Amino acid sequence: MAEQRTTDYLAAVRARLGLPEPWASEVREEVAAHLADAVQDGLANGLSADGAERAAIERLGPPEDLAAGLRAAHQTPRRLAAGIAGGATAALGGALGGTVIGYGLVIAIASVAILVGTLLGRATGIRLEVPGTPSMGWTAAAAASAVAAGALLAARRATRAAALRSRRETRAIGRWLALAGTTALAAIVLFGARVVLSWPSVLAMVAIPVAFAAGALVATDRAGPRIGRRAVLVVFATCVAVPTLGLLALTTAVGTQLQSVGSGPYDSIDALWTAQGLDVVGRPAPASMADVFGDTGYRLEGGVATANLGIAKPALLAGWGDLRLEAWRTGSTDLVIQPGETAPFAAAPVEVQDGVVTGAVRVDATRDVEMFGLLLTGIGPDGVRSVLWGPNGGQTAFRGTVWDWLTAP
Amino acid sequence: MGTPRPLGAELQKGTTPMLVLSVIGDGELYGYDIARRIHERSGGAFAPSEGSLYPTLHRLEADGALEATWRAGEQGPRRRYYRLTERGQRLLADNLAQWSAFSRGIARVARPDVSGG
Repeated sequence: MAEQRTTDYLAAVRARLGLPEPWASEVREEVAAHLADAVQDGLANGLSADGAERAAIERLGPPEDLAAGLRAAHQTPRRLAAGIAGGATAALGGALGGTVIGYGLVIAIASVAILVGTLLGRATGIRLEVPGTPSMGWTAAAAASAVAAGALLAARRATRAAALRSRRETRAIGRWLALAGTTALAAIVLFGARVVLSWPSVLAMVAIPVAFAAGALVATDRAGPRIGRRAVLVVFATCVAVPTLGLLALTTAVGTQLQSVGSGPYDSIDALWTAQGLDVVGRPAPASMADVFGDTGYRLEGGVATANLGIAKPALLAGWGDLRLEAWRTGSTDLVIQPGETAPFAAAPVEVQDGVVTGAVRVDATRDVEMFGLLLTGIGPDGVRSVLWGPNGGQTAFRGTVWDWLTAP
Repeated sequence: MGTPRPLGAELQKGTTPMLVLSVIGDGELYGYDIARRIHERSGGAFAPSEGSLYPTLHRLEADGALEATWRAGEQGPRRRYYRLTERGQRLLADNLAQWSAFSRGIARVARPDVSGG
């Protein structure tokens, strides 16, 4: 009973201390030693065991007062400043180390996946492709995944370092850090960072603030495995060097497979027209329109495709109306409009001025477009929309913020 | 109107750090021993609140006036021993000088016949 009173008192002091380890345990041990000494003195002065313990505890005062006094003594403004500085330094180191580790892991996972896919493809004769997303989107996803690993480690190390140096509870520091850091990172990810996006990269971007919150909140009381610089270098070198050498050995086979894509014999212009998917856009223009344009060209700058078509024979355009530049989603390696496409993903009316047809459409603001085909269409004298120029086009990718992606058509 | 505190308690409240530094100046001591020595050396006049002793020790340590090390005692649990740092020695000297000037001033005001101006 008597010992229980001391145990309860010590537990009450510790519960109200608000100090991280090892300070909380040290304070408890120091107070416990004090009580043991006081009880011994009480017994030597003729008190009963119960009376000696009661007197010793009464002299220390209420546990909440003792804990508050100790907490104030430990949590000084100078230590708070040291905690902020230490947390920032630890966050920087954690971010760099975590990103390097993250890149190593991403490269290793991707390399293994490619190797397995290639070997399976060679064994079965089936060409395995990454599901429809721009390759640049995968690159951004890999980078964002590595940064997410960096965010996780940065938050964890910052929380622990700030708690230790400021002598504040790890969980309390973690809650504040998670709130502030996750909010800031979420704002940057959602509205600030303009990168090439696809669903994998969007998910990886969203994972950055989530990873930061997890790093600040999950299991921060426990010390993680110590990762030295040498270990980071060895892991990174292994994750990069071994898969790279393996991929180099398979490069020739992969290249041969890619060269065969998109070729095919067509026995008529109509067959080619259909094969290119242009039948869903409109009819071919009449043969008489073949020479309507002279110098033609287009350029892609900042995600905007601009066509400039010099009119060689203006008279041929008489009777044509609603001329517009259309951008259509095509296959991932060619300009074939895919079956199922029913409308351009971007379209804009053109201007006809000084003998030149000019139009521009944005091709980097629509989700999941990897290749685009640019066409000039118009409604002819017969009232039917026909393709007057194209397809021309090339590679593109969604570029913007995550918010742009989520709110894109 | 509450019950007025004894003058000794009011004085002790502000002087505990100086008393702590003074007894630790004799050599390394742990918490309970510090309280006991203050009580003994003051002839029982001061019995510092044990509840304020540890916050005072830890505050002085945070300020760099004290250093603490854990050491196993000859008997009983291991204890945290405190010793003065150079900064603590300077702080003690400052505190004693201030206290000396303060007490002389008090004496001049309270008993001008004895202090002799």
